[in-house]
Amino acid sequence: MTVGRQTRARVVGWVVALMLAGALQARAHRIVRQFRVGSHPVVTVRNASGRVQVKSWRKAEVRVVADHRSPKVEVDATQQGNRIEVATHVLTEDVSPADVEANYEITVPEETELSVRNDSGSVHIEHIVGDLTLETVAAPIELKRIIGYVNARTVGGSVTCEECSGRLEASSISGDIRILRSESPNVQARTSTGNILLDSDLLPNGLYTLRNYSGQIEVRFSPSDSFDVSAISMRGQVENEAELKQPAHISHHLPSFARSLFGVYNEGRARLVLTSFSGTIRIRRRM
Amino acid sequence: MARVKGTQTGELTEAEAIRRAQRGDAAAFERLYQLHSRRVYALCLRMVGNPTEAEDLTQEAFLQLFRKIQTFRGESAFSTWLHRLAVNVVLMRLRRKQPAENSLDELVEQDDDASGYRREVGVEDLGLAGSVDRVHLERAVAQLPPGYRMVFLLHDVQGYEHNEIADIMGCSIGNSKSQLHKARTRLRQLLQEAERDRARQQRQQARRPAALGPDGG
Amino acid sequence: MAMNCAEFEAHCADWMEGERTAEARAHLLACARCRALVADLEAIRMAAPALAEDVDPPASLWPKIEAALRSEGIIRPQPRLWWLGPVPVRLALGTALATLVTIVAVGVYRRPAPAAPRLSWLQHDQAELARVDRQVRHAASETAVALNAADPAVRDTLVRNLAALDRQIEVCSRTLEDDPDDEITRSYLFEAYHQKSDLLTLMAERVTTGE
Repeated sequence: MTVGRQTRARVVGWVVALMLAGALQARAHRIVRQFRVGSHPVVTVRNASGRVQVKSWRKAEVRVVADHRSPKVEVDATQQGNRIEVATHVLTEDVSPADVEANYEITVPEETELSVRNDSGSVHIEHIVGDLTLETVAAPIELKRIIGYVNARTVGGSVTCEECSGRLEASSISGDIRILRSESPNVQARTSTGNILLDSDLLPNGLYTLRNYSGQIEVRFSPSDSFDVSAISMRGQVENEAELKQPAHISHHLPSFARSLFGVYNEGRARLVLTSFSGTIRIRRRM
Repeated sequence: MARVKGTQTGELTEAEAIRRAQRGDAAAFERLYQLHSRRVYALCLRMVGNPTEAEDLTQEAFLQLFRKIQTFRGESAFSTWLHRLAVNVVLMRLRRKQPAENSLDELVEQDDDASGYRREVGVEDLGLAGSVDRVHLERAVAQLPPGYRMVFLLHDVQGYEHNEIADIMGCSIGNSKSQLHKARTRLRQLLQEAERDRARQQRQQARRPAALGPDGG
Repeated sequence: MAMNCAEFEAHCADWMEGERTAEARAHLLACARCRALVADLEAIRMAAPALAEDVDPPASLWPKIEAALRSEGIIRPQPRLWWLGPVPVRLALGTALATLVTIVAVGVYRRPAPAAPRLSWLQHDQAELARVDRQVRHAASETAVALNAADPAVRDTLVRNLAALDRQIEVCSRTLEDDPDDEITRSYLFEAYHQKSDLLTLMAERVTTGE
């Protein structure tokens, strides 16, 4: 290149840079980042309040689109090897709840391991093959078509798993837990005052442990299901619509006021363990 | 009582190490590795049989564990959680080696005649006479189908209870008990067969002519 | 009806788990073959622990794991000490929490010696827990005040759920006074303490990081 062209190239380069900087300034509250990743990346999201949505695509890339209103908050996505860390940072002490809100739309390869923490707002994840670890305080968690080990914990947010397969562990204090149209060999759901609904396939050799203190527990079954059930409510009711055969021997020492139900439906292949302190346990036939 | 926090790796309690590891402390990760790596490695080694692969699986299990350490809230014992990861890693690796897609149940043989009652005509049912040699047992364990082997290792060798194994393997307690029983009866069968083979060899040896020596006469 | 070998075989798994019915015992007394089966299975069970020599993984394994952890950013430089700011609230809560968490962890997950009576250690820990819980309540109410700057949805959820757990603790404690042998209620009590300590940890984190 001649000297003249080099200089021109440099000037053009600077102008473009300045224009970009100006453009970025105008869109200071939205970032779009895209990262190349290897197989089975790990993506972590740490947010305080807002919508967190995660979907998948066929590319070996992770795309993060984040927006927020206030300059007192910064959204950040960085890559370290095969790990993408997405986080919302609060920059000053005096922030209002509206300031802190940040929304994320993240697209990841189908086979990704995810860890999401979001206090309030919502968490919505679909079409992922991989393990998910999710924690919220008040934000509801909605999962759809997840294949993998799911561990979801909230304080008051509800947890809904639709069409999931793989081991599911959900726990909340007051949030409701719903497992719908799923095919999981192992479901553990625990709340204190929240309700639990299991309306899914009961796989042979599956284990379904639903426990709460005072909410309702409901399991829905079809005539083709096969399960062995132990249901105990210390102070509440147990209602059953399944014709059960009694097992050979029951060894339980329960107080006289406790309500319990032990029995086998069809061949007793899956195992249901339902426990409540003062809630109502219902085993209902699907229509 | 809050424990005294040591400044050296060796003095951290497990609970403290977990807390610090959740903050990214290198010494804490090492402490957790120190506390648990031998058991995990031993399990992997007995499951896959070769040290290189066992090392690989152990590394994978610990990496998965440490990547998820933030999520540990003490709902089950840490060691159970780690073993669950390790068992998954091992079983997935074994599954990949099988020609077809297999669930845990299919890693156990389909036609399950591990009843211990081999009614072969004309063959005496040699009991083990109540004694089992360690080397023979090791060999027999290596021949068990992976699903049986895993439950046997966890329960009889490593001492986990059925409720812990149910947690680790994601099965029911009843399942764990029945798999264990099948594993033991299969082992009995394998040990008996090995014993019969040895007895047969000895009889053949004894019949060889001109074999002067301690076992020839 | 006396048990035959096939029936004993079907019952054998339960026998090995300690369920000894009269029929099974009678069959074993009469049947050498089934006695040999049981003896062999016991021998296998007894010989198994010998296989548990813990083998050391190769010395090169930890450095590989450590290197991977560093490259993935899982090992990171330690953050500044989290007890900055109003020292009394956080230190008090922190210390009480650490105690509560340790006691719950020890109380719930420690397995008593097989022969020892189960209840006495549980009752001892329950009293300890109640004592620590009283300390925690005081510190927790101060923390709730410090949460004022946080998102109201989050603050309300935390405070409301803390109250729900306290109610659960109260009901279960009272129930246990009437029937100390009630294992199920006791499990609900310990669970509530455990959830409470988790919840307080969440609250403490939100005071310090300003999330």
